[in-house]
Amino acid sequence: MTANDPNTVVALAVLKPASGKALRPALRLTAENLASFEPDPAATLEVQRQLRVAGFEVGPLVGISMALTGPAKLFERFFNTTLDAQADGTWMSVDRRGTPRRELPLTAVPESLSGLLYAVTFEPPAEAVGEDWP
Amino acid sequence: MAAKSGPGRGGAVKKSTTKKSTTKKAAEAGSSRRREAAVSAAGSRAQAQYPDRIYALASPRSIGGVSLFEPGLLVTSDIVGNFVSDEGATERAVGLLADAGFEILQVNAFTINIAGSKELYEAAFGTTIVAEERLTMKQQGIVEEATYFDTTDTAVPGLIDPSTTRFGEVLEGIAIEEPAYLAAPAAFPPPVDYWHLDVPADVSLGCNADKAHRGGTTGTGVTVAMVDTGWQSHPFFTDRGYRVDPTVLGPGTANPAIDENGHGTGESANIFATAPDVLLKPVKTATASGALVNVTAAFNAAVALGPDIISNSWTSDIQFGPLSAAMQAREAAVAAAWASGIVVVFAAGNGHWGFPGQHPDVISVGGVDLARDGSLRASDYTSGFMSNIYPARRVPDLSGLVGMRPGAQSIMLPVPEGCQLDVSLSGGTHPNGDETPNNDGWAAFSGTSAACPQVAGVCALIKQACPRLAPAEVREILMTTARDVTTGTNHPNFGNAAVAGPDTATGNGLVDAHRAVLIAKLRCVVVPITPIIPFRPVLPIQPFRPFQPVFPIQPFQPVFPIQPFRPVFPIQPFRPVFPIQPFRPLQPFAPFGAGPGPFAEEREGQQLSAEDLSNLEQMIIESPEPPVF
Repeated sequence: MTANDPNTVVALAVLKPASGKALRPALRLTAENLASFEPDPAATLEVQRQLRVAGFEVGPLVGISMALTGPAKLFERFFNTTLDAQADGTWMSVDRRGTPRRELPLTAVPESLSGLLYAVTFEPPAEAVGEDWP
Repeated sequence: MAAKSGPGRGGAVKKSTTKKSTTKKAAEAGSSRRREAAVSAAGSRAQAQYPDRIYALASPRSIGGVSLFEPGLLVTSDIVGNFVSDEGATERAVGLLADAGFEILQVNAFTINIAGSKELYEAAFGTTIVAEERLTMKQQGIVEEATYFDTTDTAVPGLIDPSTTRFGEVLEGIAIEEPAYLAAPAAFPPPVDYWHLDVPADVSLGCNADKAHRGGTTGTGVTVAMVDTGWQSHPFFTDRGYRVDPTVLGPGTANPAIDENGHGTGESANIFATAPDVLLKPVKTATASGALVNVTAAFNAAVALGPDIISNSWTSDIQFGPLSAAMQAREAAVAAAWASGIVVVFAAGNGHWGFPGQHPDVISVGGVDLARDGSLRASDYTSGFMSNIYPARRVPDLSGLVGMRPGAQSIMLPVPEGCQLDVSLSGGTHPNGDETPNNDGWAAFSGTSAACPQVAGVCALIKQACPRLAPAEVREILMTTARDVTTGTNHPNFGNAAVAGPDTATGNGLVDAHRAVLIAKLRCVVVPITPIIPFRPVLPIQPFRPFQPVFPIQPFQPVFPIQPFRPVFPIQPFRPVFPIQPFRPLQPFAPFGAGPGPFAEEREGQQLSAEDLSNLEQMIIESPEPPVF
């Protein structure tokens, strides 16, 4: 696998807070409250270990997430899903009904790992803000 | 308009494995063997590998009797007259070539420029055209194989010998064109006939950074990471000696030495315009198509580099919550960087509800247009709003320099030749095009993408002036010292007007590097301050009292015999009244934590209080012309 490979996929593994607090979608994370939602260091190491053993490249934890990189086939096998490359360069996970989602299903992931994860998600595209935009 | 970068006219054939192996064989053999091998390989080559048109220069017989293509001949101005061709011979040659089916592209006193297919050349001149791959330096300094065409006729590469054909009477040779490439782009921006800003000078002046530079604050010792489409070398940077680390690849990206889009390369010039001595650490987050992907992962890679500042000229458009897991991860990454002391700078957006540009833990940068007469107005190209996601969060905090709609093509920036921006913004008539070629390595653009790195550079100046400042303090200094902008309206998506004082059009106004640096310096003054010892003038040397001669001893009454004269006191050698003390130059304010300073033992006078510092800051902010120091 190389970065030149169009089938190289990158996702973010978002970890659960060590405090036991919920990462509700309405929650706003800032420098003031971030410490309450940071994952447990031991749990972070365990997530990194398991993902590496599975064959992913795993980046550093920053905030509550870390990047994991691997071939599309590895993602499909590990998360038991089908991936769909988007025209904008991003990826979607397609569920059994054919609905594309940014978040990958965690149902097939071992409990020892999924229990530490809040989500594994693809990033939506971003835009450079130097060119014209409608 | 010049053609886009690519192989020259002689080399329009794409590479193939067969050709590479052919080249290797040819390189190993001698001249004649090389040519035989090439011919042999050529026989097995597919016809489609050759372009429809191969270009060449045919030389009619020279009046001097010596061929223009004589091996070893060096044509100079002294002898070039010998290679002029007779006008009649040239006309006959043109006729013959045209009759044979060649396109006549141009005729001059020396040569006839022709074009034709491989088959046409072979049929007309009884030769065999072969293709060879040779290593050559192409545009952007890239060394790779290019396709050259040759024949088996002569020892001179690319020369067709027509002597045994009907062309032999009028032509002395036909030289097949070779690939040519544009030289490296110029370090200077191209001249264009419309109002715009150049880097570094105009942007530096517009951000009032020149005076900070004069005062010795240039970003030295400060590192700025830039998450963008990548970074590629350009004479604009190398000729000025700007310092750039090798590009770090964000997850899922490739080709660290290439910036296919050009955005990152161009915007980085804005950083150096305001902070010429920073160390730039580019992080690439774009695919070869220029799409920005996995930006949070790339941002995390930038955090891992441990920079002082991260400049982010990118955004997502998010007007309302709730946020997805990916956006929660992004906001947490931004918050973590800020909490760790990294100054995070984001573009507010160009009509976007910029995210993370609206996060509370970033310096959010909008846009102000600077007119030729120096007047300022809110850019109608840039975002400004009250966040619906973060209560009471006003966007932007302050602004950098940005142009106006429709395209904000207001800053001429260096980009890789022929990159996506070089092509897409080229030509046209300003403001609907930057009026530059599509492969010259320069393009005019701005947006909050440009404003963001300008402000990031000013952050670097502040960090140099006072390294201990936390990100929130840096932001507060920037906002306090910004020049208020009171006219204009921001992007029509928001329609917010600039008014006196802070507003949602430009924030606190246009960044003012000089004032910001002065305030930062004051913040880092040691408290209590080591007082500056006033200069004590050396006491003037007291005039020496003139020697008063001892009165001569009056002879006594000659009670005793007269004694010979003796002075009463011996004359003492001259001594100055006070020794001259050597002059000690004044020392600058010692930075925070740097110790008591060389004059600590001589401390005297009153110390600056917190109120004094506050008053000094106010003086700097309100002064129309703060001093340079």
